Amino acid sequence: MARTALVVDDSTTMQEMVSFTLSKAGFDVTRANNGQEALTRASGQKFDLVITDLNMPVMDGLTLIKSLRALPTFKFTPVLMLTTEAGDDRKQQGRAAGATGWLTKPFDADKLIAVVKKVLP
Amino acid sequence: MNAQVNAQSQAAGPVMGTRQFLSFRVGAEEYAIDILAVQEIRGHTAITALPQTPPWVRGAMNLRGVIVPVFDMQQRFGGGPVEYSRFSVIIVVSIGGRQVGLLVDAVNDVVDLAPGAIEPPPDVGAAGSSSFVQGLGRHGERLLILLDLQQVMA
Amino acid sequence: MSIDLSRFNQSFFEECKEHVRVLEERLVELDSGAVDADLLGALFRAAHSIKGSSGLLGFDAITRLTHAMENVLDGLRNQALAPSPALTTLLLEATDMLARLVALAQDNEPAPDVTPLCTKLDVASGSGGAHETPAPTPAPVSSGGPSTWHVTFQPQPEMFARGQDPALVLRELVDLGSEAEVKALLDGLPPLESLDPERCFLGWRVRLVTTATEAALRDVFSFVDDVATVLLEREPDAMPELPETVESGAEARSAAPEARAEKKADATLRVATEKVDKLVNLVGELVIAQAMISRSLVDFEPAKLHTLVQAVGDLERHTRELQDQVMNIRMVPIGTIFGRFRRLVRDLSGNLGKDVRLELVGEDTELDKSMVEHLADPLMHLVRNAADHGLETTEQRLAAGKPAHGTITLAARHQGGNVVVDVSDDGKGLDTARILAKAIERGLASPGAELPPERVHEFIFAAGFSTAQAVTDLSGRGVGMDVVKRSVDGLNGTIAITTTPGQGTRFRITLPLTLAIIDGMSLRVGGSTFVLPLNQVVETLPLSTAPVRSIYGHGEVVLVRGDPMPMVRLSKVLSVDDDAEGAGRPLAVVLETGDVRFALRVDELLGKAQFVIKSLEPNLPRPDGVLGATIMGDGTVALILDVPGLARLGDVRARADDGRSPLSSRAPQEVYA
Repeated sequence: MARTALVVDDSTTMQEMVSFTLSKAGFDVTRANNGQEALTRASGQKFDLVITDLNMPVMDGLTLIKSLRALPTFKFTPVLMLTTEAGDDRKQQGRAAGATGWLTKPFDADKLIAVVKKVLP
Repeated sequence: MNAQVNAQSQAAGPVMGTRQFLSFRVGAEEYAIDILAVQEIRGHTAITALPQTPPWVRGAMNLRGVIVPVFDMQQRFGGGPVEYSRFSVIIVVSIGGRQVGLLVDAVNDVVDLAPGAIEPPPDVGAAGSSSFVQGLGRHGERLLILLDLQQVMA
Repeated sequence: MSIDLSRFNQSFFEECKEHVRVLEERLVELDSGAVDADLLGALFRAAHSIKGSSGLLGFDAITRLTHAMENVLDGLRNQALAPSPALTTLLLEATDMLARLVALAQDNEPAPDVTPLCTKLDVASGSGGAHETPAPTPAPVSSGGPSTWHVTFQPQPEMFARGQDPALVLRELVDLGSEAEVKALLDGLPPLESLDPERCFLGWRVRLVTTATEAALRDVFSFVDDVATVLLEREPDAMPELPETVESGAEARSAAPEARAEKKADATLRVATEKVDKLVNLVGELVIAQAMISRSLVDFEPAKLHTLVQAVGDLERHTRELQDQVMNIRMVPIGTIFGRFRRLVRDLSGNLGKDVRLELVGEDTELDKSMVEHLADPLMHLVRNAADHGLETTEQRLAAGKPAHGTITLAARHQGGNVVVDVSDDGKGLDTARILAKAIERGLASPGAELPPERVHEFIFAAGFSTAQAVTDLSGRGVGMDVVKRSVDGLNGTIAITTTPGQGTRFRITLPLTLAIIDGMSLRVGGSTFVLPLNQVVETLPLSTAPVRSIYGHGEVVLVRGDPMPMVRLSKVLSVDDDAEGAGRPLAVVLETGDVRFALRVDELLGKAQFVIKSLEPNLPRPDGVLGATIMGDGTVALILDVPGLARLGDVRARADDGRSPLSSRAPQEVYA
């Protein structure tokens, strides 16, 4: 049974690139355009992995991560954030919100898969 | 209507520059057009008259959802209207994205014409039809009037 | 795995266009004084998004420019910078350049140097060229010979709440080495009854033989170093330590992708997912309905007829719904083009030295996507014209007792089967006398002709017509108006002018809701079937109740409830044969288009239905009076009549302003009460 991933990003290009890479790696990918949509999806379905951007309208990534962690089904789900900033503040903020790890933009497919492997068997 | 392949020309084998033509009859004359322009051949189809068009435009027909005008080839060459019956045939040609139906009396066959078999058009002062003629083709006993479809469809 | 990223280019270009549009439309709001966090957030995100994706795909110029823009917008967002007209103009300039870069990238052409513009932006944001720290170069992995490390990894109890699995961390660590011994540290383990499975109580000590560098080892724990204690101890080597070679891990970004992005972005459509979901459902229903019909036909007997009839009814219903939904997909709100007018008006204000305000009404009004694109230019001409010629200068306005600022209003709404778009201004109105004079001068009207004002106003749509004293840069030589009319005609629409001297002018464009399908009335004239667009049909009357009179010099008229109305015969204008006089029961169909009303004589009404408009072009030039063709239920072709064209061919004239037709003696309200 394929593993499932939820990809959250308001940029279609980013969504496509990440989804495509994950599908090729054997994931069933669901996409969402912002935190709110992602939460709606999450309340109906369990995912093996969540990858989310931070800067999004309606609901941003940090809020999403915090909300996800409050859901029983997502307490221990690996959540990766996509960030353009390499600075430590963002990473700290993310982790404090409950993020498992991060990917700094720009990244390529190989990097993405490498990081996914870090957090998912 | 099925296009019959001329067995003789096939057996002769391809000659450099040989082109294939679809020949058809309008009135007493036999004409031919480049087979590559022929899209399909339709039998009797309902034609709707179109206003404000030249007399040789008999109307328009429905070709699988596309509206295609039908030219009466006899009228196109200055003659009277073709008798439109259930034996009539419309040759649908397609050139440069435009589709047109040619209403003729009958379709004959597909012939191969080597360059040597084609002569340039004569300087006949026939009423307005000379600009349509690309050349004359000889096939055995037959004399085929080769049409310039661009001119016909103009 | 390596993926050719150029497959995402098309998506990227479209996304860029969206974001650029947002920037173009909303940057002008910075001047309005109503600057809120929402606006600043949206502007920032637009630039930020583009930057993220462009970096991913290797479009460096775009990345640099958006980064610089982002710094300025971020400064505005956290109030380190204050909005100012100069800043807005700079950002708009950057947006223009950005649009240009996207277009060039799409055509695979090289980008111009963006350094000057970036510098200006950097000066504005005060970031003076400092850019965010680049992503850390990947740590070099190996350094000479193998060493033995002792790694202690003690997670804090909350580690699981991060979605972390220590087993994976350990595995990653162990994979770096050629030999590994893992020992679990059990000291923190509580008794079973009090063991909370959601917290981590284990730790590990690993003896690892590896050639990896310390940095590489630390990297394994990069995600968890704040919720775990990590100790790395290296066993001293027999050999002296070799200095770690630092490899530059700079990844050369590949050159711009080779695949040519599709030039026409117009060929795609952004559709809300719920619209697509609805379609999927409808198709499902359709399949069910069709299956029911198939089933009914198995072992069919007359007693089962009603089931079949019902099934067919369902099918028809679902098909119609599906059709509506599919057409709806092509509908986009007119707001997508309205937005760019704010920018236009801002520029016009500046260039003309007039204070011009823009009001937009009905931005949600939806119309067919293809029409929206074609509407943009004519509307721009009209807005430019209104600002340039319609509105007076500030002094003139004040002298006339008007507010100093002039207002141009763009309003869109649905009415019947149409979309109505008004471009109005509160300026000085059209100078009818001057237009007439100009028309006479150009030979478009004969001197001394008595023409109603609307006819005079229509002259401005003639090619090359311009009454501007000085041809200004912006509106050109009246090139705009005839192009506007032609564009509107091309959309099967009409344009009407209403003006009051001293108060203002309104251009009203009326367009059919969609180009492809119309509600129509099918009818028979002689042996031919025709279709009339239903939205132009006012009523139908049998000729037995409405006598026809011939008026010398004016053709035929039909008396509708005693009031004469011009009547057009298809036999005359389209050379179609009527039924013989006296045969059957002919009718008059009253048609209306714009200000023109007339009756069409028909032999029989066949019914009402929806018809798909099939174009006669390119196979045949479109004859006047014919809108297109359609395919009837029996597969035959029927012509769809063009009502304005018929009016022209039948020489029917517009009604005078007081509602009277040239031949009528009473106002229509009285007639049709």
